[in-house]
Amino acid sequence: MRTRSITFVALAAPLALTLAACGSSGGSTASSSAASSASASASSSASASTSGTPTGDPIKIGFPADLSSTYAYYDVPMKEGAQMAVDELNEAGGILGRPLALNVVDQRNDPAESSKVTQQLIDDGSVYLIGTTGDTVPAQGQLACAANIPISTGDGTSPVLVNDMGTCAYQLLMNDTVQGATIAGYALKQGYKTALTLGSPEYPYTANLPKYFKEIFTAGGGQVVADESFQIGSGDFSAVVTKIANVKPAPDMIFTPMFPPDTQVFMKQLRDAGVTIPVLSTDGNLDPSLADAGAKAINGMVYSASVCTAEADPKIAEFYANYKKRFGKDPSSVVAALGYDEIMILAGIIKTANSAEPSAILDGLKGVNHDGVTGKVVMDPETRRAKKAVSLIKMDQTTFTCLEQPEFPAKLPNP
Amino acid sequence: MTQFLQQLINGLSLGSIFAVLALGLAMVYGTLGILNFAYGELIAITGYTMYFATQAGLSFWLSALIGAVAAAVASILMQLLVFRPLQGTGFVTLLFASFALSQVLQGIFRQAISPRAKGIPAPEVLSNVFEFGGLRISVLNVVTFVVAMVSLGLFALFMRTSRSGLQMRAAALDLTTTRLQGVSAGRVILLAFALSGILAGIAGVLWISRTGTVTPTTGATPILVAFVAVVLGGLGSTVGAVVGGFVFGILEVFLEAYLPSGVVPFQFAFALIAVAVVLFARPEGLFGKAVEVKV
Amino acid sequence: MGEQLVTSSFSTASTVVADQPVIAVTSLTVRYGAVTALREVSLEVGRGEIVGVLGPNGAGKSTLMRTIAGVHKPVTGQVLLEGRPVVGGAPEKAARAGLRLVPEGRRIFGPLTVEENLRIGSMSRGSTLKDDLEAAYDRFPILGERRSQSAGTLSGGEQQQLAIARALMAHPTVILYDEPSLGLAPRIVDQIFELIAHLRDEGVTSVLVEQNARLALDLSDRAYVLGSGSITASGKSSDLAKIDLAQLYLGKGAQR
Repeated sequence: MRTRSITFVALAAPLALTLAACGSSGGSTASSSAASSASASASSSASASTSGTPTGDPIKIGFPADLSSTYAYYDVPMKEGAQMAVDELNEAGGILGRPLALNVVDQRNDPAESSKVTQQLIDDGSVYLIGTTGDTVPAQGQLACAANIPISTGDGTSPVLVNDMGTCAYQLLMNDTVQGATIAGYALKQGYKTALTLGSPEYPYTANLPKYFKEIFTAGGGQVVADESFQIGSGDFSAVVTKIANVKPAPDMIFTPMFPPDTQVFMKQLRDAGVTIPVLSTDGNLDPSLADAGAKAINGMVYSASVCTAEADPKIAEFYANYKKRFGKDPSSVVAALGYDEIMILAGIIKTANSAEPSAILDGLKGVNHDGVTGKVVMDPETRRAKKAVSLIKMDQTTFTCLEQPEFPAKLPNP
Repeated sequence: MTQFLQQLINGLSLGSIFAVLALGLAMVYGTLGILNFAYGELIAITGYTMYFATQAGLSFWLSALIGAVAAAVASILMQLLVFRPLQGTGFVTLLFASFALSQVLQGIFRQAISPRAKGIPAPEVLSNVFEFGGLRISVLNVVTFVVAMVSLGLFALFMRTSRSGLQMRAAALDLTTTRLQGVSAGRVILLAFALSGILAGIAGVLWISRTGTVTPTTGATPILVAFVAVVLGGLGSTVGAVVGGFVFGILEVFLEAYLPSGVVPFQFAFALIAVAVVLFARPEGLFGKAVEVKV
Repeated sequence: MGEQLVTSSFSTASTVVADQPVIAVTSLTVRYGAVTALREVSLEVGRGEIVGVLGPNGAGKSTLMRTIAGVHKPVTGQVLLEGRPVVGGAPEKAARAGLRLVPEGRRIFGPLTVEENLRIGSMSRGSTLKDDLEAAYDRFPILGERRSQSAGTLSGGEQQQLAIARALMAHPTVILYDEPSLGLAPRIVDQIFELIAHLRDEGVTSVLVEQNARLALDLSDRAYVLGSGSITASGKSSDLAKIDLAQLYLGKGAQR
């Protein structure tokens, strides 16, 4: 395939033509770092005409993303949401009077390309990097840390990422231990006593989540009666479904971190095999294609996710409306809200520190306490993983509905 | 015992799809001597066609028909636009061209459609289940098996009795000598790609009915399966490809069913090891050709 | 330069050929990569003739036959079949114009039945006529007996009969025989050669490639000797037969 590099630069340029003289008033008019998206977007439309144009060197944010391969699924909406935040902030006068510049470069989930692109973004003067959700994020972290540039885990939810990446890496969203604990807590609350887990050692995500679930579920008095495995992407789960159907006595529930397109196949085959027990799962399933499996297959399925659905959560709904107003279409997925929140968190840190130096941002990341579109993000400076609660989603026939937002779990499993 | 029979049914159903898949790949290999690694993308093309057709309001069944035809058309276009211009450049060039084509098509699906899964809801009737003696067989499994067997049967009939079928069998054995009898190579090769595409389309419909979704990499598993089945059955043997498909499907299901849980995700690796053992004992594959012409 | 041992640059008009030659090859050069297989070869075959092409192993005889049949694309020169150029690389076109090659090693379709082999032979005729099949079985009774058997199970001589029968299914105007005696018992070879002579009597123009020069010269009207890709001698077969064969091959072929 042809090499494809797309670079997105902040749209400050056309505004700079209209106003020559300008102060650093932009910083003072913007709302505080903890501002909700509602106030941020409100102020942006109001201040765009009054606060002046940011001048000075742009504050460069790099995103060595996978825009064209497996993880485009996540990195494309991350880019979309981040770009929206950057646009809003620049229209509101930038930060410290300086515009933000988001540089997104496609590395196609190719290890060599990813390292090259990341190093280029660092050499180009990026003060902060959004990590890819793809396989190459540990290497990106090591490059960033060698240059003392802060980097996030992107949409990566594995709790071990920050350690693999280095001490400059932070996770600004919920992680898989929180998912495992929340789902286990939900299961216990439903009165489920026995569970069957279905994982796969192929990815850390599918390998570890059943363990996290099991740790909290058994600590709370539940019992995991069987650990089954599946092959990701095999397109047929009839053999393991037959095995599950023959577990006697039948467990109260099944937990699996399976995700589309496997979930649809598995659920259909499971229900066709006459297995009717509840299935609990995790955030990979927040995907419109899940509904295509049909009500018979997925009705009643419950799973955890970073965010709730646009329909069910007013903040997300407003984010979608603002996005559509600005770009004329919906973001590729709800992950865009995470990209938006990440830039807003960064903006808050720079403002509070009154500095866009990487060292100041690294300091600021330790104290993040941000109420964003996707919920409250509080950084644990010890683990460098945010303490962020997850949402629970339940399928009502083929409709995605939000269950009550659970509290952040009291006890987390060991990553 | 019931569980064993249930797994056997699972294996036969999966194996029948694999058999159709493998036969399609073997068609082109037999005639032209190339392994078309973009063959898997024909499955994805079937899926995306079905997706857009159902989105446009067509019924699932009509969409399936259009999807299968789309694969055949795409297969013919592959020959006309990619392989024919490269004819005579050698096996390795064509192999790499097919790899490149596969990658380009996946890129196009990703960029022009979506990196995300697109759903094709199968009719509820396919989820109905026949129950007897503790066995549960879904309508989809029955339909899959019947469609696959009828397709294989019609294919065999076409190859055995029709003039074009005879030409293709001869061309698969010795293309130059067949041409020396006045049979047009271009026509035979195009027909091989068309049949390969139709088989991919049928297998694609069965596969998509099972998975319910199409993604840019939907073709990855089918091409791998078809390739292994073709090698297992013996390169160049259509009967071998069909048997290879069934054997591999049943092997996969039984490995998944009876391997210890922790190693189940490596069932594919185990299946490949089993195939390697067979090939060690019979390097020409189960139905590989022995010396065919006495000299 | 090898000297022409027989330089009787006979005029085609003086021999059997009355009208336009069935095959006219002019200055044909064929290369396989860097290797030149044929160099500036010219020859003619008149209607109803049997023309022999002799020469040692590796002289380029098979390449010449395959180029006339349109399998190979010459670097220079051309082949005219009934006055029309043969398209190199498209053997089906020459086949449809009435030419058949009975290839070296027979090249029958082993896994197919005898009858299927014959049907393929008639593919250029639109449909397989029952009469053609019956005619083939009349001419070759053994093939009739084994019509449903896979061709690979036939003996060498039977396979050679099948290869010729397959060619005849097309009602060709010209047949190129490439080493028809190869690997066959002398008694069978006699039968095959009788058949070729008989077919000539029926009006089929023939080109006969043979390593066994004696046999070929007995049967053919005229012959060309090929050595290392070039014609080293040509003339009436009866004239060539008087010359020591070893000497004949000593043109360029002996340099090997």
